[in-house]
Amino acid sequence: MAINVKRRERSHKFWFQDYKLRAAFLFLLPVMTILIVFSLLPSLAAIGLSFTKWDMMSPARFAGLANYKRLLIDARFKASFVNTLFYVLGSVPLGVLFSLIVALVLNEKWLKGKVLFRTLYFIPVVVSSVAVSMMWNWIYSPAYGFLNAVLSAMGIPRQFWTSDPHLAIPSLIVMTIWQTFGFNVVIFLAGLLSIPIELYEAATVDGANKWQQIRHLTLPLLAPTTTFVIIMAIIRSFQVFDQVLILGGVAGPPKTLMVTVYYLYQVAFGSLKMGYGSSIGVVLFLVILVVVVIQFRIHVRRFEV
Amino acid sequence: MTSNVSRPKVFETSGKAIIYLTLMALALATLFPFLWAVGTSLKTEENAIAMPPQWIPNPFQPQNYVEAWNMFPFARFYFNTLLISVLGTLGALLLSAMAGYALAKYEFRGQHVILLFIVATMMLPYWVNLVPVYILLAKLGWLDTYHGLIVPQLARPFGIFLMRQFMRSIPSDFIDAARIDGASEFGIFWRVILPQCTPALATLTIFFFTADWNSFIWPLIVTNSLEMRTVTVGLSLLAGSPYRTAYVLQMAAATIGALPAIVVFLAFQRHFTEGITLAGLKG
Repeated sequence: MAINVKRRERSHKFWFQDYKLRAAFLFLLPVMTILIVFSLLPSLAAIGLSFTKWDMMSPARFAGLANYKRLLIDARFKASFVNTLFYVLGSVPLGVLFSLIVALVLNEKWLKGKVLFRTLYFIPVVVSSVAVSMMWNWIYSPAYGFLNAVLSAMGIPRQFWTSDPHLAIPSLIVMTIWQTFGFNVVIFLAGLLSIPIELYEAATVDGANKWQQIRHLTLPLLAPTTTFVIIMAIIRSFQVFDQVLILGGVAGPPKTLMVTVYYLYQVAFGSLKMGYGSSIGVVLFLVILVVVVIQFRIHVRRFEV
Repeated sequence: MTSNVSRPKVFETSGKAIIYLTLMALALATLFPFLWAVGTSLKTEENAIAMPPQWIPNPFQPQNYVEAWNMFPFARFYFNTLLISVLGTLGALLLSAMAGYALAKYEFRGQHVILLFIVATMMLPYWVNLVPVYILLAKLGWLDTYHGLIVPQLARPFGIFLMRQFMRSIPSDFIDAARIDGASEFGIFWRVILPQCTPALATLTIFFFTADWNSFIWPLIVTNSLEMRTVTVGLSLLAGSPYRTAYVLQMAAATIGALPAIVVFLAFQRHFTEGITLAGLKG
């Protein structure tokens, strides 16, 4: 998403000096008010709150860096963060690679039924993650779930998909890839369409085979799309919440499934530690910012320098 | 793309067959959780947990849906969700179009700063705002109200950006002509510009509507009385209730919750994928 910042001949009047600009101001007013009140100021407030202790009943007390110091030694935070990281590192590369392969296949000229496949793959994307997680919770059910039924038919003992420490996050990753690959495929397909067909024709004339074409033509030209898909996937997977809440059930998620946003939710709205909850939000935001910036730098260095 | 000429035709045909089969298997895997859920929702409680699993529900029990529907006030949840989704979508469409118009067709100081600000708010993650917005809504007395659910979601950077991009492609001659005819600024927007934006508005309608319909964490936090809950929150209550292992009812409820979004998507799928393309790749 690039913004066209080409400078045009512009008026140098302020909004109140001209009836047209007054109109522009009024057109923008509602949106700007809502964004400032419900988005910008809350983000700033979160930073402020993260330096306080506040339970919403008694007045907030300034606490300096106490919340951040506490985060460093909070074993439950650390566990939730490790789980989230494991989840991100598993779901992003696998999900993106898988979607890329599917998109490359769907982009083949001779293939019929592209629209049908693309539409079917997209269905999980539009369904709420709550409904989808309930369906997977049933498939993953230890006692009667479909997955364990298949395993026991093959003589393999049943597994505790969502509570076993080795299986919980992988199970969540499988669910995520299933729910999001259709979205990535659509974006990749759009990116592939923008590659001029003449380039492939030229490559064929030069004797490049299929794999060489993909490697030296498709992938480099697709790089901006790939970066976009990866960054979207990173942001999305760091904020996993709904799935964990549903799989966790009445008692909340088992330790093996505890992720950072759920821990934040529990700290802020379960224990009413608003200051501590905010500090978790701020740290998570910084982590994602760093990861996204690194991702972006790698992209720039590789393809644009 | 031409295939390798030196390869015999048989290999090529069987290669294509394998690709078709793989794509179909993937489609089946994509649909399986839905099909299995619908299948389970139509079984008896005993047949749902039978080993080996029963493939086709027999006896057929559609009355599970009536039971699931009545376990929680799902009619009320549907009404709430529909109200929030319709008002939220219409409001966000109007505000996005207005702001997009101002950014596309007027020229004033600070225009680019405002556009950058709007795009930058897209990057503010919701969990950072979770606590402060909750406190703000509590102070305003907006918790557990419809406006508390709707108003904060009315400004959607993505929609503003998309409308701006779209409106830039409409020639300004129309606007100038209308101005000479003495139309008001809002009149021009409403009667001249908006009717030309139907494709962008259709795309955004589907995006906004499915996002509202599926929204979960905000309604979960903002509402607390049963009458104000939405479908997704209602489903999560069911999933967290003692009926958690009543899989037949769980699957009936999940199907009821999933269906509207699937129907809307299939009805408008062309606009949907077009919109993603438009939003994601064109600057």
